Amino acid sequence: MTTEPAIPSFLGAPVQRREDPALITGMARYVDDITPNGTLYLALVRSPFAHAEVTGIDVEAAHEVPGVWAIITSEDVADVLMPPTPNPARNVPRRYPLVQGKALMPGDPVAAVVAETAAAAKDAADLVFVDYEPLDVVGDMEEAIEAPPIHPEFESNVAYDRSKGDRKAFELVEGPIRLSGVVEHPRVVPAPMENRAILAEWMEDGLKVHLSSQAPQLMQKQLASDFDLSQTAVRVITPFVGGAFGCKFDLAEEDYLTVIAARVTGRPVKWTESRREHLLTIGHGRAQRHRYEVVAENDGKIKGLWVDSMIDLGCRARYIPWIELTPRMGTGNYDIPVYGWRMRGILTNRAPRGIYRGAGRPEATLTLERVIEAVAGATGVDPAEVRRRNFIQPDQFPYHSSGGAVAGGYKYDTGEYEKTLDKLLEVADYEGLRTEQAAAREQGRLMGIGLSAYVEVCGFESWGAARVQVHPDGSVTVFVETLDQGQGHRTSFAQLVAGVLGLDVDQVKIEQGDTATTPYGWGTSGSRSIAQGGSASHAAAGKVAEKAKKVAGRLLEASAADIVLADGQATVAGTDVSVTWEEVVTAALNGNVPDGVTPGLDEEIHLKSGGLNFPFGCHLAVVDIDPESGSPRLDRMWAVDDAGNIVNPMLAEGQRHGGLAQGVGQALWEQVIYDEDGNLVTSSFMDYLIPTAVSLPLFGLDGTVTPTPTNPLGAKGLGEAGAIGSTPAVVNAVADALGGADVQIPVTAEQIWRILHS
Amino acid sequence: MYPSKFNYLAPESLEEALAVLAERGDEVKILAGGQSLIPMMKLRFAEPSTLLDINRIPGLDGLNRSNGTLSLGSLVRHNDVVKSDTAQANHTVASAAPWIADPIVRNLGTVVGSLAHHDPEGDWASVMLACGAELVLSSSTGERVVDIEDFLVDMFTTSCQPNEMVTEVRVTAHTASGGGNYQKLERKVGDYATVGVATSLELDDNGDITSAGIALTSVYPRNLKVVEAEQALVGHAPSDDLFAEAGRIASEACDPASDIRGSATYKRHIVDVFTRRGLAKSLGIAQGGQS
Repeated sequence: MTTEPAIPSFLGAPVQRREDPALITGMARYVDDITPNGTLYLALVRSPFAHAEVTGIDVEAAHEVPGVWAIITSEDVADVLMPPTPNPARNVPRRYPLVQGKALMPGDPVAAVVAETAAAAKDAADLVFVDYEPLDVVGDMEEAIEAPPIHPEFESNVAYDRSKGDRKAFELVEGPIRLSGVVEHPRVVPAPMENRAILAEWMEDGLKVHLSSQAPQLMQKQLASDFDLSQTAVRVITPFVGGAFGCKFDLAEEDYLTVIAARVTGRPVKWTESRREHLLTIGHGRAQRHRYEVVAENDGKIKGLWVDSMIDLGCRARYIPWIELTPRMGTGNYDIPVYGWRMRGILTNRAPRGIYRGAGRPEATLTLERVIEAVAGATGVDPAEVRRRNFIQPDQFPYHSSGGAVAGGYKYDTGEYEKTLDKLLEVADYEGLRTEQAAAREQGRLMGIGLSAYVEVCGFESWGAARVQVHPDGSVTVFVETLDQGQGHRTSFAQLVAGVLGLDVDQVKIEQGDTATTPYGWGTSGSRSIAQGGSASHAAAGKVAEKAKKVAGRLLEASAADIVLADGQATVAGTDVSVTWEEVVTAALNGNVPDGVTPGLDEEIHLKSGGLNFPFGCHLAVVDIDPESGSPRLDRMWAVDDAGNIVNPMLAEGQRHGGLAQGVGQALWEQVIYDEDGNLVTSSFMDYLIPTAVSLPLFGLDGTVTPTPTNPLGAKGLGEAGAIGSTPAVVNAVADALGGADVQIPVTAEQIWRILHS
Repeated sequence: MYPSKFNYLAPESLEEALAVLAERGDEVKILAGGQSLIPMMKLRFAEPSTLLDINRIPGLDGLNRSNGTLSLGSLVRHNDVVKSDTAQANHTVASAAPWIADPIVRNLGTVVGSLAHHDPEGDWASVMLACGAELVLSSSTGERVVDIEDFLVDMFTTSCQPNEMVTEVRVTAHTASGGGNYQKLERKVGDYATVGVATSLELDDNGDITSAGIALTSVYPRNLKVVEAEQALVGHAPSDDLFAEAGRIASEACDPASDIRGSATYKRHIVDVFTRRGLAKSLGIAQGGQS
């Protein structure tokens, strides 16, 4: 008897990405590449004002432009209510595809033009004349609290005010170190390479939509509900997606308008977001301000933490339920006995806040890691040691975080935080760096070393779905609900299935994104794909294998339990008696199966996992600062991450590189800026600074492995880790170079210069 | 995303191009590298009725040195300068080239195009002001040579007439006892300068300064040649104090605006720092040190 390996043989293999040839040669098709005959194009007329009454719209000249088919204005969509559901209790305002009476942010859509070419649509949009009466702009969150409400149906701009934790208990916490501070989390833009895009067609059997999306199944459900259709009458197809980072997890105004325009004209209608439109109107990330109070012992042990947060929701409240991710992850890797929080969501004349890589966890982590540095500074204990002294210990898992039920934390599955810290200090040679830093300081050079520790929550909607279809030639198609946006699922998921079935990776094809063929699921968000979709694919393949062994057992006159699937063969264990996989498949499809076994091998599974998983890690950044200009340079960066078992280390490395770059970008460059009149200043990549490879050092990557018991792969999420841990490491490094100064992101050269010269 | 409608012409000889300019130069924009023009057209900030693409015209891509002059034709890309040994003849030019925008822009954008566009935050105009460049303006009736100071009229405005095209920029090569440098503070690679400082020095046999050039980027409504600071250097032996004086004069002469790249106070400070640094670097080269 042999035993099957507990995990498939391909788990942990650095299989090269199979999707790249199509991507590199331009064969991969995105929504904008798809143009059915007769396609019309949509262009938006957008408010140039952040806050203004719309008093008139003149579309006459626009209608004269050759090729214009339709112009949609507010009254045409006054009965189309968009999510989220209005909620007077929480001041969640109504949301429509076009402004109803009042524009609430720069770029708010006022009208839509449909024409035969994109250029004609744009020409005509320029000729829609709108009369505006500008109103006072509500910009800053603190001022918004007292300012007249931008939504007149509400009494105030405070949409949301919640607290958890025992404030009295916190005030009674005793300790010699009592500190407070402010940590800003400015707005940032998701900015994937492929902007949003949609193509809508009304067919004989309903609505067909090509959509650049993270979750086509959810979008199908939403469209069916909002356009009063059966879900069988809505088909959403998501082809290749060029990045999303959270911003393609819902439907926006333009999506509704495109669907409506297709219905009005009876033609396919396409809209592709411009970069300027993306910067103006996409759901911005972060947008929080935290005030913390912390109490600690002289040895650096934290006894109590309170965080009072404000979150800038922008002009419409999207994702209200998700905003508590930040306070719920507020104690991070640390065992803090008393914790509590207040969170206020504020409506302003800004773009709506949306989901952006990390979605709440980066904010929690940055604040907490600044708190740790503050405690280190006040106690004189080395920052690495302060972290060590506060870490949740391995024997405390499963651990109920963030003050337990009192403050609404999470149940962490597994973790060994000291292990990642130790490994980081070793690979980065922390002691050597501190020696180097002391020498640099002697020479008048400003070198800074910054640490961070993070834990994140992954695997929301703790189930995943997949169907495995076996074709007569033995090749296999896996239909999954998750949605690759660049992560490489076509490789990693194929590895998992090929490993279980004993096939070559190239025999397994991954199909995603078409609601007509893929099972229902939450798509890709919150680093859930491998843990949920990967586990489901793996489990469905396991059921296929189980059946294939029965069929092979009959062919080989052996017990199914003795059959091993490997190298394209079904073999009786310990012998050279075998049949090929194709022969097994042929037998199964032709009914040559044992009694009690149905013909065919296809299996679908909706797999429930054992809950959320909590990957973690520690990052270290080294910066050099030009003392005369204040200019910071990220010199070196290490990341030691633990996402449990890794399916494909090469892909995992790529994910981490991208995440680190985004986190570094937030630390040093990225920031959405509005002027005093509420205009968006950062409306192109000339002003909004996206990190690029030339601005980054080579990353030193290492890891530890602490599997999760919540899914059969033992794999945790990894997509957001880099973006969560890197920002505080870089910020802490800058602060360290400046002798523990209070710095805010993005840490600009001028900010540093002012600190140096204050 | 979509530009307004325009005509597109791509002549294959200079005569042909100049004939178009003679006939209807008013409505023409010349397309060389297009790294400023095309983004502006996409955003409809620029809506020329005709684009005159000069990329197919032979002979405009010369990057040559002769008789102590470095000349760059209208199709010399920024990256041609980065890669060129010839361009090392002028240290300010060679030092500035790798600071232009980002690698993608450098592959297509041209030095002359940047000068003709005269974005007040462009780097090349400061380099040319510091080095006393000349531009060759060609038309169907002949050509004229214009000093850089007369060429740059105001932001986005030059003395190039609608019937003319800049076909070359010429700049004096540094002698063995000369040096030059470009200092640039940018928020990140590819950004416009927060502050840029171009410097150039020539020394005599005694090591005294015989000529000096200092020009600033992004700290004045246009690129600013700081004549007073240049004059303060000429005739003197170089020293830290002397360079500090030049830095002080430059920082007082500029008039930066506060914007997302930094406050006026900060930029003024950087002008001071970078003027000193640039001069020190230029001196190092002139004295035969590191280039």
